[in-house]
Amino acid sequence: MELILQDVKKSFGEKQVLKGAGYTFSQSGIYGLLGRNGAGKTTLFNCLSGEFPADSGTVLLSDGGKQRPLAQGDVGYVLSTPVVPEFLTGYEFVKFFLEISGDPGGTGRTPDDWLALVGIDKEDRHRLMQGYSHGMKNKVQMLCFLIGRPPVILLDEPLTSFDVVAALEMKNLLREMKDDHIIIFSTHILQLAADLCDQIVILNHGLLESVDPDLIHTPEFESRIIDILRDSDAQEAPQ
Amino acid sequence: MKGSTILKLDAAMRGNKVIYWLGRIPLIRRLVSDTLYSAKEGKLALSVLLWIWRIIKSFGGTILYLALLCVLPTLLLADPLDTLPNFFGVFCWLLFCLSFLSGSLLNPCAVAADQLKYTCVRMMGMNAGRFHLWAEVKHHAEYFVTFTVGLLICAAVYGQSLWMALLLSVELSCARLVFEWLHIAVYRRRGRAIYGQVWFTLTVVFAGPILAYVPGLALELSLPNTLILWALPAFLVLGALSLIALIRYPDYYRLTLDTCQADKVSPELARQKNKGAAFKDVQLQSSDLTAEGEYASLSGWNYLQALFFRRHRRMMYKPLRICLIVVAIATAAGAIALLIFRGEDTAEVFSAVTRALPFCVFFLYLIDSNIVGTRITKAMFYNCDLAMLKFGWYRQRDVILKNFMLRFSRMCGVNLLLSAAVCGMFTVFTLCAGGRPPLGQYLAFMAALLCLGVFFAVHSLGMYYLFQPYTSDLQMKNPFFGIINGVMYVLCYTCIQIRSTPSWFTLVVLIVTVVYSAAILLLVRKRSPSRFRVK
Repeated sequence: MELILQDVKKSFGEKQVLKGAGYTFSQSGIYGLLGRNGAGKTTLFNCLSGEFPADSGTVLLSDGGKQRPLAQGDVGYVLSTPVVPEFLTGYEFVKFFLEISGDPGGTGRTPDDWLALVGIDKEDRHRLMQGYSHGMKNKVQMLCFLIGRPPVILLDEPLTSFDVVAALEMKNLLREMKDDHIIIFSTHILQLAADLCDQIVILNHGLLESVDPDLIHTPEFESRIIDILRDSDAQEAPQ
Repeated sequence: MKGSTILKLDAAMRGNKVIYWLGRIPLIRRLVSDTLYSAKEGKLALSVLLWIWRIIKSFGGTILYLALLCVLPTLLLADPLDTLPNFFGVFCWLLFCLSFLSGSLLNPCAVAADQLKYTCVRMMGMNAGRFHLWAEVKHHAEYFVTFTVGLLICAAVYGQSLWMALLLSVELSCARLVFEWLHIAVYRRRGRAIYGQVWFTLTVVFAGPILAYVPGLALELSLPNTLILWALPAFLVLGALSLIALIRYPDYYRLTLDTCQADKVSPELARQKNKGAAFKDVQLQSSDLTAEGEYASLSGWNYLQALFFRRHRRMMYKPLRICLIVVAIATAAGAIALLIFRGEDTAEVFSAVTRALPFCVFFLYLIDSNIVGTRITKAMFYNCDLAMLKFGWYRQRDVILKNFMLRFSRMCGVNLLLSAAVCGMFTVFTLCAGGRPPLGQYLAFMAALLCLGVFFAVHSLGMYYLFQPYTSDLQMKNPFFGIINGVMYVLCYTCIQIRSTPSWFTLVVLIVTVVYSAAILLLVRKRSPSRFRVK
């Protein structure tokens, strides 16, 4: 399975954020999407998830040699600021989502099992999500793609609000899932990217470029990434 | 930071604001690009233009203020007009109340919040004392210059010497310094400023004109020139003492922290702070959230909507219950009255019943727009869709339509309950009046009432799904939503203006409700999957 981006462009007013981004993301790997503040990572995710359309370009999902446009149900998007319907309890939301998604993984897990999986305590499960912490809301949000198993999973800075134990649990979960999904993970934390990701893609000047995967686990990784981002800034500076 | 740097910063901020607003004006916005913000020379020219405009505005505003509020009232007293110079004392009294007292109280500099002060002191760390000194000198000097010009013109109108105008202007400036210090003294004593508090503003705004005009115009109270002259030393002494106190005041930084907060100087931040205000009436309370129900037989979308309506029943069903009680009381009272006073002519009662249809249109509209429709769609957005629309699976065509129908059936249920209650009321009236109304006409009337219940449910929910007017910042952005709802109000209000209800009115209501409902449902089916988004 592959997610193919071809010449994706998006502008806001005169500011062109995506200038023809193209890349092919493959299954069986976690992609770390890096870029400076304002580089357009969230814009790219919003275009892929259908939050708003790209101005031009194509986004295709290739599965078994057949290509088709990316549909809304193909993408699970975990936002950096979690949003959950606060009039429901965590249990009610997971029960509802299990029912509408039909447990596509065929896990047979109950709402309690799923909530236990992401570490939401029994006494919290029947509390309204209105009173949940940022981290708890994020866990519930992540449960949506754990249960729904969409082919493409976009995670926008998802682990920053987790405590160390929950973050480790989440990382392990993502590692377990990566064989069946295309996971793209945006972060500013280079150590996290190096620790979790199999591939690094940099979004610079509205374009996507890959970093040699062999570099990820080397001591030069951090300085190399910073060099790339700085070089591109120097190129952009007026002559 | 020097005074010239503050001036440049002030000019840049004002220039940026003008560029920003020009960029929002249709037609002009094409010519305004973001690169203009970096055009230093252009912005300098713009700031010079703005400065000239501010001077014109200050002088023009002061002259207009003096002419309308101080000179014009004395013109009313001067009869014949050539007696106007005799009323210079009244002019001085009005000026004393409105400018020396009210104006000085309402226009301080030290305790007022402004963007420049916030930027220089709180963001850039400029010495607060030096900034205030600079700002106060600039503020009071501007007032002195503009009022001197205004008062010179007024003195000429009353045939007074120019020295008298200058004298008044100096005294006014001294008064402003005294009140400037008084604001700080009150802040020191109370720990917070009274400037900006609603009670204070309202008191001064109302008390000033009352104090000025009641004795000034009714009793022709005037200040003699000699008093103005002899008061000068007192004003000068008090002004000088206040100026010294202002210069020596040691804690301008604390004053700035307490009186100049971000949400007071930035409209955007103020909007952010109050963004939930429009949704306050649909915010859930803890008592709503503990409401439990029996949902074992429900699953999926039915389960979600059942929970939603269960937890919003305070907003929907409680006001509805009150409406039903009102209808029940009206029914009982009407029935008793008819039984007691019924006469021979029962047809007249029936014709009165059918003539009530235009009122029913407006009544059902009011109930829907205030209780069921607008309120519940707002709650749908705030408590459910704002979050759920972030999920791709919630934005799928089938899901949107399924949820629409589930919500529609619930809203229809509420509206139909009310329509049925109104139908019941008119049936009781007809029975109590005795006799038999023409069956066809009567059934058409009842059908029209029931259709209206469906019609308003379709309208409210359809408008929400077609125009989804709210943004993620809880602002209402779609103008069509407001316009169409306004048109609906006008149409329903027009109905009650119909003095003699024609016999075909029932038929018109029936046809319009059925056709409109069908059209909206079709539009929702076709358009809402692409339009039902958080903007």
